[in-house]
Amino acid sequence: MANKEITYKEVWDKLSKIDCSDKVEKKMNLSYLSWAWGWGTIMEHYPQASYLFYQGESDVPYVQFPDGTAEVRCRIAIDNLSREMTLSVMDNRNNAIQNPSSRQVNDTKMRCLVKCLAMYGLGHYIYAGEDVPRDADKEEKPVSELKNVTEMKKPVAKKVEEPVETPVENPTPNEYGSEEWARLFCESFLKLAKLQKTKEEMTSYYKSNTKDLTTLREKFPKIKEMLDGELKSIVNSLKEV
Amino acid sequence: MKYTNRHNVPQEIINAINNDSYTKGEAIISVTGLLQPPRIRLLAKEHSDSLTVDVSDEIWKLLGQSVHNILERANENNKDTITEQRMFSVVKDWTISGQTDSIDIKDNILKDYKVTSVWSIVSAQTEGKAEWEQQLNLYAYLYRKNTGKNIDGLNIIAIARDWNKNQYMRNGGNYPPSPISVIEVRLWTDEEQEEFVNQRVSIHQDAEIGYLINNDLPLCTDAERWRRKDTYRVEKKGRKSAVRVLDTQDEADEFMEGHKDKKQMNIVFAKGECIRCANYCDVAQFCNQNKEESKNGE
Repeated sequence: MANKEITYKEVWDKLSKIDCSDKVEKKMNLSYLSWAWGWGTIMEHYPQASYLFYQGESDVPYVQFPDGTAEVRCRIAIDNLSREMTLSVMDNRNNAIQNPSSRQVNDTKMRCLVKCLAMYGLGHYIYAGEDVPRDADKEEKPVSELKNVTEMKKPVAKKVEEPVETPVENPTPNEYGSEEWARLFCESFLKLAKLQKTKEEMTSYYKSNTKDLTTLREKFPKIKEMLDGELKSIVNSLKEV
Repeated sequence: MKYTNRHNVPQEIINAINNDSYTKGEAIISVTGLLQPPRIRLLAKEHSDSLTVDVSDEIWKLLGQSVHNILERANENNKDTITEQRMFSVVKDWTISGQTDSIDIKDNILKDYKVTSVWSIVSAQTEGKAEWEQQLNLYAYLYRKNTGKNIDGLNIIAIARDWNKNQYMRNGGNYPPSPISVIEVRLWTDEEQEEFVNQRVSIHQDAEIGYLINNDLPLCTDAERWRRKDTYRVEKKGRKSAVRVLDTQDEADEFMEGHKDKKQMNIVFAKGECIRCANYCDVAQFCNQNKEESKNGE
């Protein structure tokens, strides 16, 4: 019997319920969803997923407009499903940048990947300006507790734009920083570390995960040491390339 | 860390040294760590199991701890003083911590006690001491972050472990008139403190990543190595000590030229020694910068 094809609805129902509030990283006044975690989560549910970035004819991975500004394009496929997304290369004030550097383009590519993941449902509620995924807060809570959570978050209505301002506080902090989280984080971190081609890329990748790496180090120092050991092996294999 | 006992220090002293309760709390880095050169901090972390220190070298540290403990005990019930307060703050995702010795609530002055040499005190009073200024301003920063209040003044309470009354009577001048001195330290603006703490955290974060990925450590600067300046020693045949020690070749030439014994004299260049690397760095034996420069005759 042929395998049943997955549908957009199934994927959406699964991914849009995942709470990613505590994966949001603050930079300047903006918040970003960690792409390492985002991709790791997709891999957990749909390991067959793949992504593709637009590659221009002149070898640059972006589309350049007449005024010199640029946008990157990303497509994520899960079996027969495909979603696309675009994102302008912007500075931290959300202004499009003319003639962007490789660093700016690379950062935008990863943000575009995250935005594309939201088209499948993962973290979509953040872009929509909500503080928890729909259904996530169905569980009855005491009124006082709900009040505190509301006070902590002060959600602001937002446009579906990237980068977005999002509520940062974690409404269900019991998961972030747990041993299970540590295991999953290490797994996805190392998986993506293997995709880095140069030491420069690896450095940038490591830096972009500072917050999670710090949490791991504070809560599970031994696991962090092991992770660093594994990372060193990956880095050593980069030398041989 | 392993201890040796080359000078037959009594066991009860060794027990006291082993009983060091210092902890940086649940933090990634302490104020002390932040102020260390990243090379020293990372090498010490990597080689912590093989570091060897003689117990006799830890005596001054023990003396320092005893002063802190006595002061803490004596001020336990004093409402005008907060002693040994550990504070935390998150900077660039790292939790940093620092423990102040004493905060005078009434005058709003943060104080740190140092058991040190007369030489250090004189030097701090005449030229200032960057490390102390940085350390106390980092505490002031942590205090502000933890309480929302600003400190009005910073003091080092320096206890001279080698103070001598006869020396004072003989030397006068800058020699401290008492074995205890209060040294006022410049309080930075909030912006200066913020900039400095961010800069130090970045330096250590970058060093950690650089070491992990590129196996590369930032070099210690001359200031961090306590490098003495190069000198030109005018020496005379048959005399052990130099007739004069000067900063430049020109000054040495000029001095020798005008001297009646110039024919018996010669000038010897002396490369400035890195005092910390040579005498005070626990990880010098693991440090390729130190090895490399020793090999090159520095």
